[in-house]
Amino acid sequence: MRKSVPYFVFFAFHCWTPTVVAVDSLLGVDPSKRTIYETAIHSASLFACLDGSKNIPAASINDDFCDCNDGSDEPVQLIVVVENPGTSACSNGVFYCVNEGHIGAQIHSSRVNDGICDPECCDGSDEYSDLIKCPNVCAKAAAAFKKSEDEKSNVLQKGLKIKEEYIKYAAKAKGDRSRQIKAFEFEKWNITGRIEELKGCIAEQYESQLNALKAEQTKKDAVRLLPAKLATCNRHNKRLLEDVETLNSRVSELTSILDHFATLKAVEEGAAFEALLRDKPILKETLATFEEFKAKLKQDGGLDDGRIDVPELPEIENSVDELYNESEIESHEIDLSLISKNSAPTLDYCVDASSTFIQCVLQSTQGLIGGISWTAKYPFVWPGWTKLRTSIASSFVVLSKSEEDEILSKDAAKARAKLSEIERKKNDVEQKLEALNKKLKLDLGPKNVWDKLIGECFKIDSFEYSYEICLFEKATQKNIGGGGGTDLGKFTRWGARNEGVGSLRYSDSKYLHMMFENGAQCWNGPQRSVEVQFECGSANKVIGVSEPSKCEYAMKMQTPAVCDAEATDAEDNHDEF
Amino acid sequence: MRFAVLLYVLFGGTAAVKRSDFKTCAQSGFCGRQRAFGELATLEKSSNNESEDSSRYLLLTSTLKIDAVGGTVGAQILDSLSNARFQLDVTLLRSDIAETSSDAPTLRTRVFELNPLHASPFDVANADNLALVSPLPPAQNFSIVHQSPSLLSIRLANNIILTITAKPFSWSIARDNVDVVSFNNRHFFNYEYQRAKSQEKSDDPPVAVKQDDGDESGADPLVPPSKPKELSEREKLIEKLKKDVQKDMWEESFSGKQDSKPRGPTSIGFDIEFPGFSHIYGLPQHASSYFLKPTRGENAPYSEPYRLYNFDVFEYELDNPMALYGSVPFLLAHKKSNSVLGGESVGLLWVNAAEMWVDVEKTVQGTSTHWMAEAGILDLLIFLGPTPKDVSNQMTHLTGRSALPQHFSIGYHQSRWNYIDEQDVHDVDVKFDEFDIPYDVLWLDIEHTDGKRYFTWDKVKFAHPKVMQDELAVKGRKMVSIVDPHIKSDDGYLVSKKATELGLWVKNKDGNHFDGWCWPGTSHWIDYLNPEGRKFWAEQFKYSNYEGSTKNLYTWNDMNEPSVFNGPEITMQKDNLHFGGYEHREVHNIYGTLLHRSTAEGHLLRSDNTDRPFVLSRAFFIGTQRYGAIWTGDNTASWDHLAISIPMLLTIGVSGVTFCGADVGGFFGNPDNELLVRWYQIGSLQPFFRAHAHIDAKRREPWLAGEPYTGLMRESVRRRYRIMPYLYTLFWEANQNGVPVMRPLMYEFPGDEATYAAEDAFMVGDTLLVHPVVQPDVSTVQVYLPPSSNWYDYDTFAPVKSGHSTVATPLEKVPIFIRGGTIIPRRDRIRRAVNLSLRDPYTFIIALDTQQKAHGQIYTDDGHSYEYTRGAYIHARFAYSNGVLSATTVRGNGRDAGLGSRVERIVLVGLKSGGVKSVVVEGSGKRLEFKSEGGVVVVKDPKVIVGEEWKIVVS
Repeated sequence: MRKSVPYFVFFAFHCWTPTVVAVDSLLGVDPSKRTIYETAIHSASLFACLDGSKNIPAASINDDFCDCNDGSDEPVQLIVVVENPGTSACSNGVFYCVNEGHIGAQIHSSRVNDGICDPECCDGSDEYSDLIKCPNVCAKAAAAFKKSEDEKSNVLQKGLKIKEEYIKYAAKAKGDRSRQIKAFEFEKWNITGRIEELKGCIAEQYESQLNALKAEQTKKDAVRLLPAKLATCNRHNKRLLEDVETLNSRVSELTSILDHFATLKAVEEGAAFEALLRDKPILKETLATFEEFKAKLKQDGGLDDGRIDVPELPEIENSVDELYNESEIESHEIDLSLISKNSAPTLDYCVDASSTFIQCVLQSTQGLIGGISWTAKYPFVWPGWTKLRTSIASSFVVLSKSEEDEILSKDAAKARAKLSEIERKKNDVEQKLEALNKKLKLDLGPKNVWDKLIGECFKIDSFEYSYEICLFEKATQKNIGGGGGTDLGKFTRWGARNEGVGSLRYSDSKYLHMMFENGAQCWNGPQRSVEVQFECGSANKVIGVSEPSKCEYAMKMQTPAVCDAEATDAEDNHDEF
Repeated sequence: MRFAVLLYVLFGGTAAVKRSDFKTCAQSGFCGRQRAFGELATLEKSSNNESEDSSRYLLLTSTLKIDAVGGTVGAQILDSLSNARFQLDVTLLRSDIAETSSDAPTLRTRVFELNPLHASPFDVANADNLALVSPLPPAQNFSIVHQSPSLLSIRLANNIILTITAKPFSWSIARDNVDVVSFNNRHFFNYEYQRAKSQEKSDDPPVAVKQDDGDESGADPLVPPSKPKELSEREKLIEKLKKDVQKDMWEESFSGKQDSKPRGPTSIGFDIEFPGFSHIYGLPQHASSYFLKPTRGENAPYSEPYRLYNFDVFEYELDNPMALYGSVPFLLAHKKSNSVLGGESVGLLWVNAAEMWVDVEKTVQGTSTHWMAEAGILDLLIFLGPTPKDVSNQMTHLTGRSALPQHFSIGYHQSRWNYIDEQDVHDVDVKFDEFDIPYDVLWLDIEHTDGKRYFTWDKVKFAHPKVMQDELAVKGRKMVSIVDPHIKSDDGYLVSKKATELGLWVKNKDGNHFDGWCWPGTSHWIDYLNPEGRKFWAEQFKYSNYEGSTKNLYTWNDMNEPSVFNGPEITMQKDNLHFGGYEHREVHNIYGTLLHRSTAEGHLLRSDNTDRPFVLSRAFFIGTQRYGAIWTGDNTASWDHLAISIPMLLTIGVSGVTFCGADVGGFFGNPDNELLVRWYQIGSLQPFFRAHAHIDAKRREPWLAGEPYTGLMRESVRRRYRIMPYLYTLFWEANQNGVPVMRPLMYEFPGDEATYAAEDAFMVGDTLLVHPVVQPDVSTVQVYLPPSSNWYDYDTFAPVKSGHSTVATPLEKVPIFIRGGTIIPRRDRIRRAVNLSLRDPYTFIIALDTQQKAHGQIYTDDGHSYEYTRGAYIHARFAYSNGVLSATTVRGNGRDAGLGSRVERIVLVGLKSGGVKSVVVEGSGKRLEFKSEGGVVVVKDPKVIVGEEWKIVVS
């Protein structure tokens, strides 16, 4: 594609009339378009403007006068022997630089013969008037381009390798994660069963105690004692309310001091105060923090002045009712747990061909809890089971100790302790499950390449601040001199801040930007947010951060995750049209 | 909520200026006194017989010196109550200037106290060539029409007679035997002579002044409240006014800040009437209408006088006579008349730099004004027109012509507080090219400095300022950095250290260096009244002093009112002291302009007088046009601020300062896309075209809005760049005759009463009428096209009916109309910056009038140097009549300097039918290609050269 040598012929013309240049090259012209121009010129026939709006004489092509509405009559550095070069006549036109030895480029017609050697036209063909002579620097440009391409390609190759690993990791992680989820779900199910069992244990004891109590005390006695207890409750309640009031008044006082400070300054100094604030960042910070504190309060449902809403004192009668209701509910719960303890699985999932693995496991474990040897009752048919058996069994060692059950059934205190221990375990499992499920829902890009980077944090220092982003999680800013961090936002979505702006070269361009939003409220501004822009790199590294608009941060990060073998090709042919 | 509201007031949002930060007339001692004096005079005059004169000022005829050949009259004036004596000097200044419709001289009357007790007051006209040009034009002789002990009448011009009356001292000017302007007709003249504080009580009891601090309980305890019941309402009012006339003479305070007033009362008040005049204009700067609304009398829309005292006003309010950043005590009066012109004007300028208030009142006779200034002398210039353009010409003949701007500076300016660092600058620059939007200048606000130390750069963010400027310059672009007058008090800062050593700071009342707060914290201010201070300042712009500056760096002077955050009304103390012993109160309004001037002088100094300065200032005053551009300060991103930019800029323009603009998009707040597009459409047709935004505002560079908005903004910018040859010619005209680039309609149609109050439309030169859209979501605007011309739509060239009509205004439409009979030189090719286009071919739009005629002109030069003063320019005229377009070169040898470009296109608009058969270049006989469609003929590439003489025959 880069061969013949162009030669130039100069004609001296009127003052600023551009010199006519002949180019014997057909290079760089879209072949289909080339034919249109050629045909018109050879046959001296009419040329149809490319937008079809008019037909013009072939002599009007590149005659330094704009005839076509779309500018297509002054288009390109053409074509065929003794023909005019493209001109600046049409403000919407384009000009093609052949750039022999390098890569051809299209530039806006506004740059033709403007006295500037545009780097895009390394052959200097954009300047052919007598304004300026641009040397042909294509060899140099090509060398520089090659060097930078080599560097890029080097980075790309490294990046692509790492990206490959990311993809492999993602594939594996996906499997691991669903296995983990299954295991945890199983564990959760198991724990739930155990909890019910223990509750049943406790309930039985509770019931017997209650019966004993009932024998000792009549219901009337209970009612007699209730008002006294309620009175105590109310006393505490009142005390609590008083405390809230005291705290409220202290908050009010502090608020009004700060309010007063600002008001006083505003009245007295006006713009001077603003300068003072600029001068003394501590003051500004104090006021800003105060404002944010109040914004937070408001978010939390507090009153505007920072006070806490005082709850109403409950009515005594209602309280009595509630107490009764509560005990009813409790007994109901106990009943349920008793029922559930006695229920047993009715289907044999493990032998049913359509059953899932989890159903099988569930059933098997059900048997385990019941203290029945699963091997005896359900001959195991699922082949993966043996592998998993050891680990699952070890998790539930405690549950298989029927001896301990025996002790627990007699000692309510121990049973309760056991219950809370297991409930904690359940919580733990549930949290792990939630985290896993959250990851599962994340959009991790093409081939889940971003999986490896979930929760990975990267830092950059810029002037007095240190910035940190944790991918898919959050962004924070810290003063290097110390002090607390500022929340710049949580991960919300892929894509740029202003979607659809600019021309993005990647097909899956949405994965080139990540947004962190809804950070700490900015003083007299929006809630803070960060737009992270990714580019291909051989390692993960934040390379720049700025605040183009107030409290709207822009971060640039290199990562192998966006390296794209296709992208470099696209860049090669980069032009702005 | 209170806190939230408060924060809003302080730091943004829609809440506006805190009015309580600024004085009312009553809170400004002398304004209260002078206003009371006027009321008192009105009451007394109405009760007296006309024969009995109530004014106490008498011209002593025995002292009269008339020099008819020398064009001067001198006399003494006696204050009959205090026996203080004043000198009156009347001078006729010749105005034999080209292109005016009259040879009427300018009348100058000066009144100042003889032997003032404390100190000679500041004379801003004479002191070191500050407000007026030097030398002034020669005096013009006159003839005496009538002279008697009580009266002197002299002939100023054929039809203009000045009559000076001795008792009371007053004067009036009659044109064709009709009074057009008169002084002291209402006996408001009140010149507070300088007095000793202690002697007050023994002095003339009726008017003499106690050591009054405004405490009324201290008033004459010996006088019993004598029979109050017998006093009529009128008498009570008079009693009160008599006290008011003596208030706050020796001390006053505002908002807890004391003004020591060691010289006591020094104010001057007087009335000027314009009998028969319906409209007056001028007195910038106010966020108000183009024609001045009354402040006195029944149903007056304003109750406060127009105030002129340069202030840094935070989020100023609209439709308000409060003072803003700049002041020009100039007034243009206009009325319908039976003359050939259909209307006539007079103008008035009080050359005085002190705080000033002006009341405007509609009277039966016409329009009356009451002028009040705190100090200085009475130095009035009366411009006799008779057209508005003549008045502009006559005024700028004395206050100075608008400097011919560098070509780049009338391009598009991109600014923001702040482009963060060099990378940011680079990115913005590149984006303009990517979107093919021309621009010429990128601006850096205060954050570019090292800790708000001007003439320095932030060491990290702007570590390579020269490289940065060079990168812009490669593409023909420039950079502007901000340089404010507050100099951080810091001995480690060379500018501060040197100025301290040289003793160049403004001093406080005790004679010590004044310090106040501004952006850098505690700061000092150079005393630009001191020639050494100006010289020092100018030297700071030398490349050797301003490190990191290059020849492509120009300057923005902000905060030069001056803004002092902790000062009274956010400015300097009035009892601060300046060079020559003058108090700040006397010089305040010229302070910022002297900074502007010193900076411009710095630009000249650094380039050895070869490169035209470009300096943008926020404060302005009489003569600012000699030094550079101004803008309307910190406006807001709202539709009403967009709308008011038109009357504000019209007023500033007619007051002599033609190179002016408003921040496009609005400084505070965030414009939506529609507002932003409309603002570009309008801003691109105003003289100074800069987009700027507050640091809290979101980014709003044109490409951020997306389509269709980005494209519409690009089109607006390109529209301006296309008419650059026309705009540059208009700036040259302003440089020649003072007529503003952006003109009120009444400048072009002085006989058309429908234009007198028009401020929703404006003229760009004499050719284009712009009636922009300044409201959201409107599909049409009501347009008035004066019927004395025929009109064409700018975009389609279709004829448009004159008079009132409705024009559809989808977002892409800017209602611009071409006046028939004109020729607009354009350059339709788009370049990245103005200077890259100077060799491109021209397109001429020839809009024919009903007689099938048109004429126009072009001025062009290299756009940056002073070679034009050595003839290196082209000034050519074009005329079309009887089917012949002829070009004649008026002056200049710019053709030899390589300035001529060819004409690539001629568009004939409004050709009456008959059909064009041929278009031929006379002489060569070359037949030209053309296309004819619906009365519009486009002639292709005649290749004739601008600056040469040629004829093209259309038949």
